[in-house]
Amino acid sequence: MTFMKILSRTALVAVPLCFAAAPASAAETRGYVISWLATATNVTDFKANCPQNKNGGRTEWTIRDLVAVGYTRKEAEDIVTNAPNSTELPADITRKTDTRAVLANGQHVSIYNYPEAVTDPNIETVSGKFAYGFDLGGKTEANKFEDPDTHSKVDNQMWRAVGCTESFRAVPPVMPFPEEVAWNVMVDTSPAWSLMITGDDLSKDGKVTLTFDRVTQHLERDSAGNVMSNASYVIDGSPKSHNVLHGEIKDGMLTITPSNLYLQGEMPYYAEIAIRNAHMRITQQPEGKLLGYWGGYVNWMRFIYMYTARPGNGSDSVGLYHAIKKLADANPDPKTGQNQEISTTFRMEAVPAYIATADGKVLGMASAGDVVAPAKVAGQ
Amino acid sequence: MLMKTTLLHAAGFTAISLALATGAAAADKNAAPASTPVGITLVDVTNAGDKFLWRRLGDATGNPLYFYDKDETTGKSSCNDECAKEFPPLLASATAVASGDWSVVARADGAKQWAYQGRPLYRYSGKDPTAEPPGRRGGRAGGPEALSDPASSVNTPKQGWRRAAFTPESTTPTPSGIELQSLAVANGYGFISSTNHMVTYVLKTPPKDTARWAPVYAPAVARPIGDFTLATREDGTTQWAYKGQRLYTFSGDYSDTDLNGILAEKDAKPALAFEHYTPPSVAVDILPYRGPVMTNAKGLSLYTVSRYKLQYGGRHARDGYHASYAVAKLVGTRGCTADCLKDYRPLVAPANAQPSGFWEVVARADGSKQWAYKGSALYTFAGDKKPGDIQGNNRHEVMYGDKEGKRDLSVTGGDNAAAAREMAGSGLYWHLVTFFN
Repeated sequence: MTFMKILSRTALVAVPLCFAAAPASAAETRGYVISWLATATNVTDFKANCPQNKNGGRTEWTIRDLVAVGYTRKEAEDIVTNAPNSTELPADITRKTDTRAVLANGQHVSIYNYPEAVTDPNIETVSGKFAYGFDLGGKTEANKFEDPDTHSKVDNQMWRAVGCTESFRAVPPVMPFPEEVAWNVMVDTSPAWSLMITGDDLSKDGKVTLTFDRVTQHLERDSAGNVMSNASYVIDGSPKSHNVLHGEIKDGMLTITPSNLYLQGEMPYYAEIAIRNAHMRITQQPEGKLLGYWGGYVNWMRFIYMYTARPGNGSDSVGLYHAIKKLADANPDPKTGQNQEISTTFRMEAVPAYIATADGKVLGMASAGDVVAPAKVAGQ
Repeated sequence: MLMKTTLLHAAGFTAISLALATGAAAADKNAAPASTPVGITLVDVTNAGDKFLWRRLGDATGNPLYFYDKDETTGKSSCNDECAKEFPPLLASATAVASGDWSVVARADGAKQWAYQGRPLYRYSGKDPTAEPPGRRGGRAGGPEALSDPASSVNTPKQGWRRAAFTPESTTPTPSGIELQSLAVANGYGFISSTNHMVTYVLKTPPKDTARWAPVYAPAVARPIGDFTLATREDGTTQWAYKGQRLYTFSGDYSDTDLNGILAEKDAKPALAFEHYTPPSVAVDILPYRGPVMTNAKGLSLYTVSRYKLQYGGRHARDGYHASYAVAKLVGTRGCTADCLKDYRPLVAPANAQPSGFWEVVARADGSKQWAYKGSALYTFAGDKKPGDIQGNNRHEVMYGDKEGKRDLSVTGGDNAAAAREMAGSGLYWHLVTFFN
């Protein structure tokens, strides 16, 4: 796998992760803030991923919900057709579909809070070949995808579960819909995440340290509405989101020694980004931005909670609940045997930033403008 | 005890600790009186979106107190015999002392009854009417008009009665250009400048950094009013003084929820008309970049647990996330039981603890007593080891129901099938105690 193949698949202009040359004797630290983070999607070939195309969009799953409470297909289609839009059904009908979860004693309850009491709609899941990710050590070969960039065998059962759902047919920079909505509020209201990369000489291959923190300010936007580069942020002294990971830069790619990662989030985005056995690969873009992927195991229930807590927000949340639960592939509950975690990959971007402590000490310098010419690449 | 400031150094932070009013008689003649006597609470009335509407009086457990319209003109109780069985008077102890807006009236049978602003106070013997608790996206409570009217049907069980509102601004004279306002971060009702809506401070001595402290000027024709007097400055201009101490605003405050002046000047205090009761075991630290954090006496952060609520953004703003009183009471001590108690530990109230202001004493299932602030039971977090730690903040507890129906979701509201869509997201949310007005 040569560096050039990575470039062609991802359309990245990945330059070696290098920075302005520093005195050889001084370690250097570059600062960033995470400017984009969402489930990594691979929607270049929907037909291959979802040959049945049975999940449909909002209209289709609304029809399925109506059929589930006793309407015929024709009746359901008529109801949806006559509604102002497919989501604004008459209140009495919505009440029926929203409470079609039935407990053992016959009581009807909310499908969003009792998804276990809803018959699994068996939504279509991804049967295609490709998904972004990492080899997390999953033992079932049949569950593995091939990463479109690295062509390695990878574990990403989360993508298998969600990839045939309409709101996940998002091509970056567009995020899956529920994440998009919540993230764009977070940008303006919630403390951002910082990343500092430290190494002896970041212009060369070598060992690096990655330090993640939460900062006290929300992300800043530039005049175009994008996350601004070269802004300054103060680290939140609370250690809750403080992570120190170890990695290396090799041939322009930064990877880490697998570790755990915890970053405080904010609902209705992720309650937290908690990745066990986290893997990363990150490259630098010409303008200094970082682009990459994080993968590992996340608690599946805390992921789907983001969706069931916002009914109708771009997904058949109950269908996803059952799909994700079935496809969870790690950390079985000792009592029930149900896997509690699912292999997942996130796509991330980060922009350069100055990262400082509360008493004004600058720890990480922004790197925009310091990009050097791409190094010679093997096979080029 | 008056507020005092103490510099603490903990966890790399420079924290200012406020020791707050404990309800003891103030030795300082300039001390702000307590907002309520012992045994009388304050409850915020909010609308379905948790927006603050007005503040009412409550008994020791927060139940509404009422005024009787027929009492208004006499200032004495007109409710006796059968009336008093339906609306029992809020009795005062034999040692109760009148103060400010609080007076003690003698009833016909010789008993003593509390009165507020001259109006006797009563409970209701039946079930107090309540508006439906707000849902996660706004509930189906009575409209804003009904909630805002103490005499409406959602606020009173009977015509001729109204819920007793806490209205210190109606009896506290202020000069033009100065307003009385609830200041949560200052734990009381204080004065703000109408011009810039900044908190006013009193300083015993002139500030050292005059560039940052702006006098609250009085017009040349101003006259003293209430506790406000006039002081002539060296340059001949006139400055307002409150209880003999000159009033200033601080340029480092950016809103009326800032109290940065007390960090800048040693003897600066917010000009308070009333100070709310706070248990002796509670303090407030002001942490850089975070602002006021309520702590126990050892400086460990205090937390509340609320039902999950759909809110886009702002949870980490100073007053960005809070639950209504009604919802807080619904959660109560059920918000943390069994295994939860390994992580979150109740803020224990002593056996002789008395409720007052925003503070109630709630009983846990094991019989122990716990402090509750604005209806929410308070806890410390086992993972916090030193002052300034806030490891217990911003934590979500996901609680799906099971298909057997064995898991009780009433604490989260997730069992509300009638509002399935509104109450989606069954869970609890742990956060630092929020200071909100």
